[in-house]
Amino acid sequence: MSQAEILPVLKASVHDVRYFSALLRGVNFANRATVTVTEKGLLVVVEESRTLLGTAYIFSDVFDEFIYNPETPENKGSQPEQPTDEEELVSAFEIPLNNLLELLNIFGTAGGSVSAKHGRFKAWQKPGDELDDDDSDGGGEGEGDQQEGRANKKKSGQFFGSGSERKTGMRLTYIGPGYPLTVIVAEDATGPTTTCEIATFDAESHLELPFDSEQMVLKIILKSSWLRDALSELDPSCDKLTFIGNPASEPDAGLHPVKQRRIRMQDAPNFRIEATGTFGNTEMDYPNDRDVLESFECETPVKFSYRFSHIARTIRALQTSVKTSLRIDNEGLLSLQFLMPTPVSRMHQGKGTSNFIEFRCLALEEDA
Amino acid sequence: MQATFDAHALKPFTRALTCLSRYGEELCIYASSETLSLFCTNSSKSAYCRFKFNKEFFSRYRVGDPAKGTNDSAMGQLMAKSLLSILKHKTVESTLERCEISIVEGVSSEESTDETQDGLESKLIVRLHCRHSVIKTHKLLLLGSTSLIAPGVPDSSNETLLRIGPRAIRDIIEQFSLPKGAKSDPQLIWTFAEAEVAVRSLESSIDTRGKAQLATELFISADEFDLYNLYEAPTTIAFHLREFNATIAFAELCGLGLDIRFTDPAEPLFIDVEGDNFETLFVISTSHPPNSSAQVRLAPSGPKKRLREDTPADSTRFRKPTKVVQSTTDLGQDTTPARIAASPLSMPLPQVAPTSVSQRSNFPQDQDVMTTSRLSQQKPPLFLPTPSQLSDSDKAVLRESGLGIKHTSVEGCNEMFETHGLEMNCKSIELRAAWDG
Repeated sequence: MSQAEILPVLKASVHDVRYFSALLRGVNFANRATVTVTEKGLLVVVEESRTLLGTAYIFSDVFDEFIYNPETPENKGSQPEQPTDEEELVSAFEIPLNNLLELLNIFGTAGGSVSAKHGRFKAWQKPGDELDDDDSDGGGEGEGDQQEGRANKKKSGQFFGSGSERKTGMRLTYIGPGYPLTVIVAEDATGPTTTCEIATFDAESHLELPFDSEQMVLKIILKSSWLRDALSELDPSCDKLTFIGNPASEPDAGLHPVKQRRIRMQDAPNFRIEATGTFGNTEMDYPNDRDVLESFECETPVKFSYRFSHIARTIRALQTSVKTSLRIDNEGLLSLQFLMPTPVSRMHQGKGTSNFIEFRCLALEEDA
Repeated sequence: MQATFDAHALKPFTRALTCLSRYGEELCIYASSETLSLFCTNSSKSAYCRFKFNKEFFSRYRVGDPAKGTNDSAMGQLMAKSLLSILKHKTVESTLERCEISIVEGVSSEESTDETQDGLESKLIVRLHCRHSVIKTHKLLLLGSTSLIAPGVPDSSNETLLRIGPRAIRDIIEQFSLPKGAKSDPQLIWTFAEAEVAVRSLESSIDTRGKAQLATELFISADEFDLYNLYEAPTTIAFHLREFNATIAFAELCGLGLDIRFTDPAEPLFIDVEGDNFETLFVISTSHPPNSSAQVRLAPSGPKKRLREDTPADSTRFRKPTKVVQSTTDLGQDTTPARIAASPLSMPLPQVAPTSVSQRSNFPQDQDVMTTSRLSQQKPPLFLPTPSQLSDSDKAVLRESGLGIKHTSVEGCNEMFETHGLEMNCKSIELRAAWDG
């Protein structure tokens, strides 16, 4: 095979990394992430203690340019496995995810959670704008660290609200197994660019937690802000989190609507989050109000517990997401799907697919 | 106990909790039929803070159960930070409609079959009713209140009263570039003269990082104070700022003025802040500023403890702050002025906890000057009003007993002390006599 003919497995670029890094940040809770490249986009999978699985589905329309050349069997060389499925070929590798995120934020402008309206951010950037581009590197670094830690209080719609800021652009290149992931990050064409090669590892098989929709016992769709507020109000020292669902008892349709509502309210709360810890316990009750729970499906009373530290990993993803779908199956496997706001895409004019992050968590064994 | 308050009462309540959490870690709640008190002490027992909310502060307030005849008071201890983090959350502040706080005692035999009753421990239940009928219930375990503590009572005959607005006092403190941080505990030295006040930062040769500190001194005129009743000029006191700052911050947020009272240096400083349906009391211990020649000490009891603090041998040595509180068993009665010991001898006693008991009880038999044998019981519940609030009849009682301060003669005092072989600094008695004179 001729050297000149090798096409990189993946070539992707985006002019503003904020959306991409927000998605990655949502699953950044473990050292290593497995990145799987498919025709449709990227899958970033992170796992913790064989119990929690976080997956970010990043569709190709997040990128301005996304070229995937699946590895052909000859190029693969010594790889024992070969993708034999008919549907699509995938390539997978592992990288340390936090390195990638820090790199994306090297100029300090990849923290999509803070828009120009945030006074402090703006004050920092202004001097940076006046300075030479060489200085923005050092200044951006410190601010970037602060941004990473800062919670996103703004609505995610403000991602693209600020046009006057410097945006960090990025180009990703992955030649193939055995080669590092090359990332070129720049603010604009004239400014300094950073080229980084992140070592890739062979993808190990990760935990599979299949969710059977047939066996679903509880399904709730609610605005992410409710769940985010609930989790942030809980004492961080609590160790167990329990989700309880009670079926909505439908009062007689013949009754006066006000009376119906009162009956509905007086019943056991439809959805309850309980947290126990050394301090005591906390219960948060959510009624079956359309403003709160947009959709609620529960046939029988459901109660499952999870380790609080695992559920707390989802807070990052919650901050940027718009809606959350919470599903529990009959064995207690929890599936949380966080819907991200739709990106403005150059490829499909304004018709980008919504990206989402999914977390799956195994339930704690209840002592009978 | 059950108390309900609505969203606009939440703000002063959380401000109180913030202030309490800056004073100490453990918060005590005491609910009586008329008031709800929250109080705490710092770890070295050198500062005490109490918030008393009248029952009008709450939209609903009920203590005990008249039908069952349970005693009408409830008490518990918990970590201030847990309660604060529940109530001070940004989502709570914006969506709260009303908040219910209740204390559920652990022992429940004939109580309802509510599943929330634990039956083992007492719990503080905070139920937040938010918008859209979302209900958040927090159940905090109450630690058993082992020792109740209360401050000593000030003796108001030689007391200085100052009243100042929070903004003014904040401006004073702000001028000092004091090291901020958990490890630093800055002190300020205040010298009160007739018409002006000098505030000086405590000089120490090196601070924790080994660098020489900046010493600042500032003079303000007494006109800054709304009320300036100095008992004797000049008076110099020194006290730590950490708790004082918390008090100032609270007063400033609520827009209330501070009433500061103090007597001698080394007697604690009392600050009163009164607001809408609540009142607060802060007690901060003071000390002699180092390098000062004044050695006024009344130490009839616990001489060992006091003398150790007295020695000015090493003036830059960190002085242990004097305790301002002592254990007490009876916490509720704050309306028995007759129990006040108005003598100069007993006044400083409350600060030294156990040793005072035995010593004080010696006096009544020998001298027959102490008002009653009640004193020897050593149960002064010290939420006591200042002697200035004594009713006339009580004042008469005290005067009769022969031990009103103004009527003690130097000889009488010296006699007392010599009888008990106590070390006394006669110079101090002379000074006192001069005041009486």
